[in-house]
Amino acid sequence: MNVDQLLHNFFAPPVPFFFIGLLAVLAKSDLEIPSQISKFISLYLLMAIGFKGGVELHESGITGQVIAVMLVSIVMAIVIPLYCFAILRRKLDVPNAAALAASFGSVSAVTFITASNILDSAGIKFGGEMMAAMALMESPSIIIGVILYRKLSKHDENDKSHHMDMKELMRESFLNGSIVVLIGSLLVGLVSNEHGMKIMQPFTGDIFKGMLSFFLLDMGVVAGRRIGAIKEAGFFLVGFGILMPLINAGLGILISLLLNLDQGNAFMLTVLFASASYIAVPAAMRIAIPDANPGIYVPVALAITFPFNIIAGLPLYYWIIQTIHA
Amino acid sequence: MENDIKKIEVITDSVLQRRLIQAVDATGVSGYTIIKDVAGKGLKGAKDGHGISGGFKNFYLMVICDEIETKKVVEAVRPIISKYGGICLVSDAHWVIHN
Repeated sequence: MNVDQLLHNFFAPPVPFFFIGLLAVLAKSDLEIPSQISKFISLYLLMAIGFKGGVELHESGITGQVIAVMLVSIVMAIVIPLYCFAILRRKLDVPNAAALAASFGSVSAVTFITASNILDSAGIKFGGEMMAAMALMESPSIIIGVILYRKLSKHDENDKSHHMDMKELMRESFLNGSIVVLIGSLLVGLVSNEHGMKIMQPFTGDIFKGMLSFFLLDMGVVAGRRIGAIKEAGFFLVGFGILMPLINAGLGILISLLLNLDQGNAFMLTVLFASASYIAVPAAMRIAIPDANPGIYVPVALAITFPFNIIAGLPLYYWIIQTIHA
Repeated sequence: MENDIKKIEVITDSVLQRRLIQAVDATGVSGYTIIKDVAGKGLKGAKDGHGISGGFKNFYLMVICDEIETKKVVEAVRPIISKYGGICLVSDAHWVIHN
C-alpha cells in the first residue's frame, strides 16, 4: 500500500468525523452527544472488538507468540509509567507526575479501535491477542502510579483510609465496566468461533464503522472542549504529550521486530504502547491520587496525545512499519 | 415544630458515588435521592457533564432527616468531601406531603 492509499484509508470514515466534532466545538456549535449515549457506544465498541478478538484467538490458538505478546504488554505497562514518571518529575510534583505517568502506561481503546479500522480498510489482519494485550495493559499502570505516589509523596502514615483506598482501587482497576465487557466479549468470542461470528455479524460487524464514526464525532467534541487546557499546560507538557507517544511507538516497533510480529500485529502493539488513557486511568486517579489535578493529566492525554496519534501518529507508525516490512 | 426537618445536599465527583452512598447507608438513614450526571463549576474547575469516565461529572445527593441523623450524615460525608472535594449543605426544611 503506497502513501496515497494510506491517506485514502485514513481520510475515509470514520476518522474525518473526529475533525467534524473538533471543528464544531471550535466554531462554537451547540453539538453535544448525551453522555449516556457515549457510554453505550464505548461499551459497544469494546464488545465488538473483544468478540472479534476472541474469535480470532480461537482460530490462531494460544501460541508461543501469543503468550510473548501478552507478557511483553504487561511488562511495558509497568515500565512505561516508571520512565514517564522520572521525566515528568523534572517539572511536576509527585501526585501529578504519578497520575500522568499512569495515563501513559495504560492504553486508549479508541485509538486502538481506530487503528484496527485502518488495518481493516487496508485488508491487513491482526491477531486476537492484541485485544487481550489491550485488556492486560489497562490496569498495571494504575497500580504503579499509586505505588509511586504513596512511596514518594509525603502523607500521614497513620491514615487508614489509604488501605481502604487500595482495596477499592484494585477492584475498580481490574473490574471496571470497560474491562469486564472487553474480557467477557473476548471469552464469548473464544468459545463461540465462526458460528458465533455469523450470528453477531450484524451487530459487531455491519454497523461497526457507523458506530465508530459516531463515537469519534463525540471524541472530537470532548477533545475540542479540553483544547483550551493546552494553553495552560505549557511547553513542557505539550512536548511530553507529543514526544512520549513517539518514544513509546519506537519501543513498540523495536519490540515487534524482536518478537518477529507481522505487519498488522506490529502496528497494533505499537499503537498500544503509544497511546495514553483518558477514560479508565483518570477515574481511578481521582480516587487514588486526590491531590493530582485532573486539569493536568486529562487534557495532556485527551487534547494532546489522542489527537496527535489520530492525526499524525497512526499514519506515521503505519508507514514506518510498512517500510520495515517491505 | 413536628414537621420541621433538615435537608442535606451533597455534590461531589461521580466517581465517588459508591463510597459516599456506602457512608450514608452506614448511618442508618431511611432514604435519600440521587441525581446522576450533574454539571457545574467549582473550586476544582468546570464539570461539564461530558466524557465517559465520570471524571467530568458530578452527582447530587439529597437526604431528608431529623437533627440527630443530620449530624451522623454530615460526619460520614465530611472525610470524603475533605479529601476529594465537593460541597455539603444543610438547610431547614418543612414536610408538606410525605407518603
